[in-house]
Amino acid sequence: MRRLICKCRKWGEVLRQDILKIEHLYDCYHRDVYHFALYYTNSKQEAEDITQETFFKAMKQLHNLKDKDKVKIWLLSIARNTAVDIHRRQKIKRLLTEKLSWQPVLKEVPKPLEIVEKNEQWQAVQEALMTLKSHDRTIIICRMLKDYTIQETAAIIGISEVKVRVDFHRAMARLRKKVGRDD
Amino acid sequence: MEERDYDLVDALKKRPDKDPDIDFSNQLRQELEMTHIKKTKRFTIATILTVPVTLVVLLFVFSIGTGQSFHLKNAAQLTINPEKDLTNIVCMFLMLTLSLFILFVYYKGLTKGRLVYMTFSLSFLAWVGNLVYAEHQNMDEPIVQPSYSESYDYTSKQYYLDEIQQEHGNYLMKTNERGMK
Repeated sequence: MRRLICKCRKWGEVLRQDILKIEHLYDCYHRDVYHFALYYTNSKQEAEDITQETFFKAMKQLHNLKDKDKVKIWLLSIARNTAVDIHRRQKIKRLLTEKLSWQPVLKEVPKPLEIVEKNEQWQAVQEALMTLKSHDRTIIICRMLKDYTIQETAAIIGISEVKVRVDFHRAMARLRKKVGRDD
Repeated sequence: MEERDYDLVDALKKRPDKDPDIDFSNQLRQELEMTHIKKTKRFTIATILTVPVTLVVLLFVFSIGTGQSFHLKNAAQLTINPEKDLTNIVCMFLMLTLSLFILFVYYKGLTKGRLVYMTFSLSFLAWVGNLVYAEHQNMDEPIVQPSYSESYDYTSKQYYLDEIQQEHGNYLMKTNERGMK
C-alpha cells in the first residue's frame, strides 16, 4: 500500500512537471512491465530482456507520446509487442537447436492433476497459461493477473472492448480446461 | 466473474519470483540514465537523392503544364482552343496531385524509405529515357486533316469545287448537243 502511494505521488509529480523522463517512467512502471513479461514467458531471463528492450524502445519514442495519461497503456502495449517478438525469436532458436542437435526432446506431458500433486499450484496454472495462444494469454494476464480494466486491456491489445469481453471468457474456459477444473 | 477463476489465478499472483531482481533493476535504471538518445540523421542519403529528383519531376510537370519548352518531335500538335484548355486543366490537376503526394510523403517522413526514392528515381529515368527516345526517333508527322482549322485553306477547296462543277456542266452540255444532232 505504501509503495502504491509512493508510486502515485511520484507519477503526480511527473505530470505536474510536464516533462516526461524515462527514469520516472521506469520507477513507476518497471514492475508492471516485468510482471507482464514474466507471466507471458515464464522465464526470468526473457522477462528481463523484454523489460530492458521495452524501456529502451520507450526512450526512443518518448517525444512522440502525446497523451501523458495513457502512458501506462502505451508502455504495456510496447511490452506486449516486444514480448511477442522476443518469445517467438527464442522459440525458433530453441526449435532450431533441437533440430540441429539431432536429439528429439521427448516430453511426456503430465496430466494436469499430476502437476498439481507434484508442483505448487502456481506452477500448474503457469504451465497451463503457457499452453494457451498468445492472444488468450495476454488477455488473461491483463484482466486477471494485473487487474486492468476492459478499456485498458482493449487499448493495450488494440482490439475492441466487446472482443476483449468475449475472448476473455473463452480464454478462461480454455485455461480451466487445461488446469483440469472444467466441469 | 466466477469465484473459481479468482482462486485459479490467485495462486499465480502469489508466485514467489514475481518481482524483478534488485541488481537487474538498478543496473537497467543506471543504463537508462546514462544512455543519451542519439539524434537521428535528418538528412540521409535517400533524402539527399530524393530532393533533387523530386524537384526535377516538379520542373518537368511545370514545363509540360505551361507550354512545352522541350523540342519533342513526336509531340501532338494542339490545334484548337478546347483541346489546349483541356490539356491545361489536366496538367494543373496532375501538378496539384503530385504536389500533394510529395507533401504527404515529406510530412509523414517517408523519404527515409527506399521505396519512395526508387519510385521517384524510376519516374525520372522514364522521363529522361522517353525524351532521349523522342529526340533520336525522326519520324514524320502524321498527316491529319482537321474538320476545321484556321490553318486550313477553305477558299482553295471552294475553287476546286467550282472547277469540278464547271467541268461537270460542260460535260452535260456536250452530251446534250450530241443528242440533238
